[in-house]
Amino acid sequence: MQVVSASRLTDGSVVYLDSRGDWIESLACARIFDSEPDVQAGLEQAKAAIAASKIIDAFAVPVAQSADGLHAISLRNAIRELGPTVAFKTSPAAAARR
Amino acid sequence: MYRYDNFDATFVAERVAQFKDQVARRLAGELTEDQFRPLRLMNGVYLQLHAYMLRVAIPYGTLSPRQLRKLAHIARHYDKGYGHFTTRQNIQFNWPALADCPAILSELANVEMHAIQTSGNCVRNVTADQFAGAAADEIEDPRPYCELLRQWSSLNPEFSFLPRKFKIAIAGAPHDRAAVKVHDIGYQIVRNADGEIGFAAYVGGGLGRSPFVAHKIRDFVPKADLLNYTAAILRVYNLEGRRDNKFKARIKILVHEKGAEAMRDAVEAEFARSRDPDLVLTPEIIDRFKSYFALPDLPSRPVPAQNFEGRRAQDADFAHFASQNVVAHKVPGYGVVSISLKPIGGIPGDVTAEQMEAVADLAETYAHSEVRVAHEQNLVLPHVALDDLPALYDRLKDSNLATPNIGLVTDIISCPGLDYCSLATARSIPIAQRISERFGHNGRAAEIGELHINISGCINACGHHHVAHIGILGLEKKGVETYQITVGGAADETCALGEVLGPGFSSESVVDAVEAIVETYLKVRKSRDEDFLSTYRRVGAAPFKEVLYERA
Ligand code: HEM
Ligand code: SF4
Repeated sequence: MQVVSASRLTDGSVVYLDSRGDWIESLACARIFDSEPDVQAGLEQAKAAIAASKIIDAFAVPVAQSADGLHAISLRNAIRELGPTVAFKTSPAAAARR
Repeated sequence: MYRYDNFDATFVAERVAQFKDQVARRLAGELTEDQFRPLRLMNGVYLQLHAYMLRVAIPYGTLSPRQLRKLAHIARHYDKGYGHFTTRQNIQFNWPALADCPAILSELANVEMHAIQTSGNCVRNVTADQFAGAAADEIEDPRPYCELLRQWSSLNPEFSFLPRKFKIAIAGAPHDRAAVKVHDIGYQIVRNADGEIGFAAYVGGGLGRSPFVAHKIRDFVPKADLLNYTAAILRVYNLEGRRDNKFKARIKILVHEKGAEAMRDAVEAEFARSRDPDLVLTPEIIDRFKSYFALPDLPSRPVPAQNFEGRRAQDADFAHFASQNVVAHKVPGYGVVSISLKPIGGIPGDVTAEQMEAVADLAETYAHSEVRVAHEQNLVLPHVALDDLPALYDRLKDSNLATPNIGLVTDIISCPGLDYCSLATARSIPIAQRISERFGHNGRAAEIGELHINISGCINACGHHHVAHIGILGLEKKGVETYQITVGGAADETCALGEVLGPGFSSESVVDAVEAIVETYLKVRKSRDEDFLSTYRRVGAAPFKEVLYERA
């Protein structure tokens, strides 16, 4: 099971391809590709989005269903999905703005 | 402090305007990523795991309060409210939007800062001893020479496409606080037999996947020849450095393959051949650059400092802070104060916008408006009257900036690792945090004494693990983080690469392994005065290997 992920051009955010062809922030709502040809088709869609300057650096991410939903398997992809594992200190003003 | 002249200001402003246009064209789809990537990297914009990252140079680690406030403003308005100081005297913002980067660079230009040459195969930010211009043991302030090198190398067309990136550091005192021997060129300011001041030249140091300690190729480069001699080294490297393999392209590989003797001969021959009279540094030029970094007018203060001595006698915490975080200043009655960015259990090098502003205020009130960034990821107030130290300490405490741990086991250097970095193979920050928690309470760190732990999240070694007393390198084995431990490295004038103790440890066991090493040290040291490194140099790695691998 894989999903296709990339970084959004404008802000570098981690995004995933969904079944409508949009690039969304939630891995849980991403389109799941079960076969290798399907994954290739997903990556072709990503190429088009790269050509259209929507995203950069697309690649397939192996995922698995677990008790709390769909998640990336490798630590690197899990950290991309969930953010840094450390509690960085953010200033109140910046936190409010986000 | 050096102030931009018209040329600098125009140049940086033009560069910002260019980049603004480039970003606009990229966002409009007129440039592809392949076309744009080198342009953004030239302006310090990387892509990391979660977002873009902007790396801003802090030349020779010197900041004014105005600049620090600007960094705070950028953190707050364009990022998530914090920044990360690195081992290269840069600051990195972890979350800027690409569309905002031109505005950020424009704000930086207003305070004479930029991100030029923080990436790419050019001469990077020239770093210096963080106590430059202040430390009692200094022969001469290295910063005027860093600035000369910076001006000469910035966008120098001959040296903009070197085989690989190029890092220069200059130390001004016999005690090397700038890690000059692990740089492509390290200059150590020395005095020769005639009493003249110049530079001992080291080349070919570096960390990364193939670490090397630099070789000294000249005992004494006169000040007048600094640029010409540097040019000669760069020319030899530019011609002979390997361009066929990125991993063999640094000057350290050239020096290693060619041999230090042959490198010395080639540099001397090139120096003799191409010495350019226009690049000779006249005493007038040197004096002009020195004047930018003149010691502020420090009013004379009573010695001994009554206020300081009084508080020290009454308040053990203050006394501990003073002994750990303050070193002797050139001027009696003053001290050089390090502000640890390593709170117990915190993220090494991270600082919030509010803390940056607090430090800016304190620098104005107590430190003649100067702030420095140390490659150990700490900040420094270089000129503090000892009598002001009690008040300064109280205010640092209010901002959670008074951790008294400089040089101790909790003053850990750590790269961002897999929590942020796209090249990482393992996390480094959480390991640093756990080690800090393990040793950070009940005076344990002070009992252990000076002990440097450095952590990198991959072989690129941004966290300087090779030159740590205890170094930790995060790797990945079969999808799992594993941590390799070295001991006996040193980054100072006794520079040495650490020795690998054996197979790696899991994330769960690595902190216990470090503790076992530390406990072993405590058992075998002759006395409290024999620090970890000296003990290792006396007993070797055997007791540490034994405790880690032969316990069972
Ligand atoms: C975007 C994040 C970063 C990237 C992509 C990156 C990349 C690299 C690479 C590829 C190398 C190896 C160079 C070589 O051996 O040729 C390296 C070395 C190094 N980096 Fe980083 N790095 C990053 C962040 C940092 C940070 C946060 C620091 C400071 C904490 C840092 C400081 C250094 C240092 C000191 C070295 C080793 C010295 C040397 O041999 O050049 N880097 N980096
Ligand atoms: S050492 Fe590796 S993981 Fe750490 S910042 Fe450098 S490239 Fe990233």
